[in-house]
Amino acid sequence: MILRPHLSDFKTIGFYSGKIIMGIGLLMFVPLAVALIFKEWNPSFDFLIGIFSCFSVGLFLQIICYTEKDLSWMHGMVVASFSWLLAMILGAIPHYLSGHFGSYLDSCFDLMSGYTTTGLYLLQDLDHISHALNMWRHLLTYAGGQGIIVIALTFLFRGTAGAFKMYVGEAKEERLLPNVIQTARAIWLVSLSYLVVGSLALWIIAVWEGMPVVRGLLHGIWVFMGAWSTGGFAPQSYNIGYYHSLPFEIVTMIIFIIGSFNFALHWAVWTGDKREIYRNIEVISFFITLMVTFSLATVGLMKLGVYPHVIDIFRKGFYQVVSGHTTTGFMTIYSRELVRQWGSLAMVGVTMAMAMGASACSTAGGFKGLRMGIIFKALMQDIKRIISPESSVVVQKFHHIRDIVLEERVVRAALLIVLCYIGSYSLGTIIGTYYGHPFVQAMFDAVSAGSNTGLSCGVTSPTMPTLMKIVYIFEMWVGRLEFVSIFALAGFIFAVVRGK
Amino acid sequence: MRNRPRVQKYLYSSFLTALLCCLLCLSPARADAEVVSSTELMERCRFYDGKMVTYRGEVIGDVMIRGEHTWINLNDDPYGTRRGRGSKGLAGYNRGQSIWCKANDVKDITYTGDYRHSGDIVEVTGIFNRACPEHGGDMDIHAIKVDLIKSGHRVSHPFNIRRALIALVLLMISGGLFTINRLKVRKHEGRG
Repeated sequence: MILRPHLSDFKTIGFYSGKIIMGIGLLMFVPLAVALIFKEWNPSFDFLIGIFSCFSVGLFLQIICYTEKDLSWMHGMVVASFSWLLAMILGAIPHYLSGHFGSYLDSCFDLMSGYTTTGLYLLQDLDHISHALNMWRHLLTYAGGQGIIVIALTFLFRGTAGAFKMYVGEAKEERLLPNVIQTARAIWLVSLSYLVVGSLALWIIAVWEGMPVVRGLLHGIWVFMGAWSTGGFAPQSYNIGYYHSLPFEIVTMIIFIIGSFNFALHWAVWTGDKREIYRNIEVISFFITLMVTFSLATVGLMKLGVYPHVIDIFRKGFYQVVSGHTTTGFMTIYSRELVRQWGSLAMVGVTMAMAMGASACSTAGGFKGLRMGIIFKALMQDIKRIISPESSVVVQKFHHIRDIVLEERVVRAALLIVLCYIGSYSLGTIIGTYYGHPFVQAMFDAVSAGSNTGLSCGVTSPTMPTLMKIVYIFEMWVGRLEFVSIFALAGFIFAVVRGK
Repeated sequence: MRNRPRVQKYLYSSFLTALLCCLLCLSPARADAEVVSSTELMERCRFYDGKMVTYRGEVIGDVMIRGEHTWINLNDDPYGTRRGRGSKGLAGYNRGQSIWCKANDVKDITYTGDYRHSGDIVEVTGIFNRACPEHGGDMDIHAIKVDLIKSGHRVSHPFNIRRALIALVLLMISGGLFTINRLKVRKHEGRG
């Protein structure tokens, strides 16, 4: 029997969602400061409206839903999925007021893309937007990469036992430290340290390559945020191709590879366990699948004679494949070049890389290296069982921070999530094909949305049908939260309607 | 002896004609005398590859000088010629092409397009590369000639008083809600 949720359940969900919305409002102070520094008065009003809207809604929810009750697992999951939707609607206010969007839905699309570190966008005339809006776009991806609940946990929670349930609801299960709030702060410590070093490196290169000092600094910070969070937003419509700089490409690639690693791995290395880099199943899995997909893309590029030199194949091909595999979405080629020059085989290589994605508990999306590794190990275990004597017990282990024995339930969970991802990719592909796009192109953008990558071959555009925009938003949302909290929200709604 | 200047003149004009023919033959094929768009260059990149093209667009962002040369990015979308900004004039994504030219050729560029400016409109004539061997496979145009067609300008963003008032009203609402929330929390803490 399904029980109808009690009023206290709604109150708990509303109260904690209100707190997270307050966090989004606080975040908007950063672009507001940028608007004031650069005397962009109208954008500053846009952000003030956004901030006070978030505060009003957040406080209203906290007042009417006031509770001292802690979160259960169901509450934590529903808060995670519901607050992401609410944060999308409210966070889109400055976007819409900027006048660069055809509709409010388009603004919501960009917000969801930012939070989920996807990088697809429907913003029009990107090359003429204000510094404040550009800061907000990139801050969204940076904050979304760590997780908007991680932000709220860092600044707005005093330590409830239920906080961990919200944290898990945002598709992060690793506890770096015994306390979840300390874990959230550790994630920020890692990210902010890299922000300083990475932005400085990109700033120096940008100025060296001929950009003015102030614009170089802004671009350095923004591109770092896009790279580290594996977001893929860039300040100019030419994306990373704008800079025409090999050092810039190398540094961004290093940043997004590091950014795509598991926070637990970062923490292990930070605390002195450097051997973890070579032993971790995710790192091994990532490099194997990277080589496979890059080889596929290379064969495709060589077959069509796209680039005159091998070094160019490596520079262009490797960058795009790594960008896809880490689910970053940075490009050093034009979107349409994928279709007009790269051809289907190379596109399939990049699509596979995007679908698999990078590490769990990182800023990246896709199946995740951990699940790929687990599935591969399970396959190995089954093969060993077949060739071993019937009486023997085959034990398979994998290394992720510590040695873990492979259990049936772990394999089942990994396979289930991978299946959900395939379902999400298929939904986007079918919709894209329905609206007349060739299969490979429809699949490319659908996988890009579902794996939170952001590479596009031109299917995503402000003129695409409303249903496609909604499906892509859905794909980005479920892909980032890894389904479980979405199922919890769906179950909660079902219980409201059909429960007794 | 009287015919000598005429013969000289004849030889001279023949030499010039032959030279012109040679130059035309040796120079890269000119795809079209008309201005090509970035969309056309992209969709027919193999056709235009290595050919002389003329392209026109708004200078965007930064003029990035690299020694004796420079990179400029030119957008040929409608935004360059738009007077103001706002949702009414939206026309999709930006479209453009990167140009590699001599640093001296861009001395006349004053405005580059950004939030506050519409960039200068320039016309370039040069060789289009779908995968430039000199620049790591970039799609670009190596400009031979750069002409300033129209000067850019500063874009005004009139102070939006209505939005300022909305922000003020929302400030008051959230201020009121903040006070109510504090009182409620204190009341509950007092009870506890």
